[in-house]
Amino acid sequence: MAPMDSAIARPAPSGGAWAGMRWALVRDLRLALRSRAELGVLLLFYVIVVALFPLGVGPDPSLLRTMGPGVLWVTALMTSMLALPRLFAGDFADGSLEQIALSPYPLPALIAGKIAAHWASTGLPLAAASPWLGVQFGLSTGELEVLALGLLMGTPTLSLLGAIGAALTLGVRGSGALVSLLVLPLCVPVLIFGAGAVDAVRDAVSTNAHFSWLGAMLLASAVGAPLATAAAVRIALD
Amino acid sequence: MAGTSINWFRYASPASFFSLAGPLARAFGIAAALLALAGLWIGLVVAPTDAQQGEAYRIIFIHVPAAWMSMFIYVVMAFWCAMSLVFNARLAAMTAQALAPSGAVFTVIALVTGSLWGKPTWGTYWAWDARMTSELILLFLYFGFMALRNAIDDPRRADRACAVLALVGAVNVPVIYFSVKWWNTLHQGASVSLTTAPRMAAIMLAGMLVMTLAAWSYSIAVTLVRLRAIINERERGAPWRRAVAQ
Amino acid sequence: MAALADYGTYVWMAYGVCALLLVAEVLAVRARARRAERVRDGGAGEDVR
Repeated sequence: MAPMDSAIARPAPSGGAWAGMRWALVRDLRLALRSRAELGVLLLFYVIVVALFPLGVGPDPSLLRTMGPGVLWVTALMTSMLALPRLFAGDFADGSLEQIALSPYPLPALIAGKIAAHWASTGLPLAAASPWLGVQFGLSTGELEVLALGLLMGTPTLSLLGAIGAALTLGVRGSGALVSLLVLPLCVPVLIFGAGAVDAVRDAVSTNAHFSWLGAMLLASAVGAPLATAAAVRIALD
Repeated sequence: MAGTSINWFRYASPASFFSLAGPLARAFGIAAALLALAGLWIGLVVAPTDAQQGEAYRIIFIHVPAAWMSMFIYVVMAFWCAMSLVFNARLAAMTAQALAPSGAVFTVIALVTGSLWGKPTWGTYWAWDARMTSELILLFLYFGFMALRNAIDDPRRADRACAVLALVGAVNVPVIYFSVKWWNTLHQGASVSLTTAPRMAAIMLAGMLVMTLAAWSYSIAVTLVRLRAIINERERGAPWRRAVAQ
Repeated sequence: MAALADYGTYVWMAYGVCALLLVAEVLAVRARARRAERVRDGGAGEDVR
């Protein structure tokens, strides 16, 4: 099977940004659907690691309630890091990334589409699974809602920030661990406000500030990350 | 204007900067040593015992300059990274490459001295206060820059990739600092920062200022020597190198 | 000056660690510069990062 197969439709020569984004989104979603097993493994990683924490610290309910939000968020971060290579590595290896960069669509738009598909296939399942896992830590319904909503807003930001790291380390040796070193410090604010929101529910305090910050970071990275990632991709391809 | 304009870009090539860097490094090194002696004399001999913190406060004379330098160097590094992207200039990228280890060293000094200050004053080596936690994350940013530099073989690709990384980091640092501050006040209430300096007598302020100038001179000297080494390493084949070698 | 001795272990450890790290940095930088000079003069085949 030729590397550049029917999944890569010839882009129309017009080159609009939204059209490009849609094209990349549809293509990557189709590709993701073919590797459902791989995505399932990622989700399983999340489930297993979350389950390890109670095994590590003991079943004391109050301790687990305190730890729960942090554990669920940090493990989501870890899983996102694991999922990052999927974003560009396949295309880089078979040369399609170069073709994508050469297409008439603006590269940031194409990348935004790829990131959206990546999030839908890796981050969204985490957010959906989190309430079920949160039950293991004895979190209340209100806490579980805020947990899921926070992850829903936070995981796209993680994918966006992670894309920058993934593009910077394309084809570099040891890139798996290196990407985590580069991206995790940038993700600290998302972690703080996401986990903090659940704590706020537990302490019966308003979560407005937390969600405002999560929203602002999502918007800022949605605009900035595709641009930075496009620059990084061009640097990697030169 | 014709014929008398200054060519600011004369020293922008590694070749011409190389010979300038040597004497500059020596000059700044001497300045650093003198300033450090003066600063240490002020801090350890002249400055009086603090009413609240006793003698342990004297750590600020190295902790505060180190912390300021760690942040200042990151900003300067990001600036040169931006210059290297805008002007496609090798020397600017090499300067950023030379700055990173110095910044990392100062960050480690700030963390260690902050921790040693915390123990006698507040009873604990580490208390996750906003400034120390931000310093820790800054250390990770430096390590990331150096690790990426190291991992990419092609020097020009490494220049550009690290430049993007440094600029992304620089943009994020205020966000990170603010979120850590928020996190800290939320979890500890209005408690005092672990490394609050005592109310400053003028002499203490003077000591800190002199030590900061010493640290600044020192970092310029070390960075220039490292920059010369980097120029040698990267410009191996260039014709001007063989000319200097004769 | 006698009070210098009373500054406590933490102060001396802090200054000591700082001095150690800075001296280590200077030594490392000078070693790197020397190695790079050798590369410049001697030449080909040395792997310098």
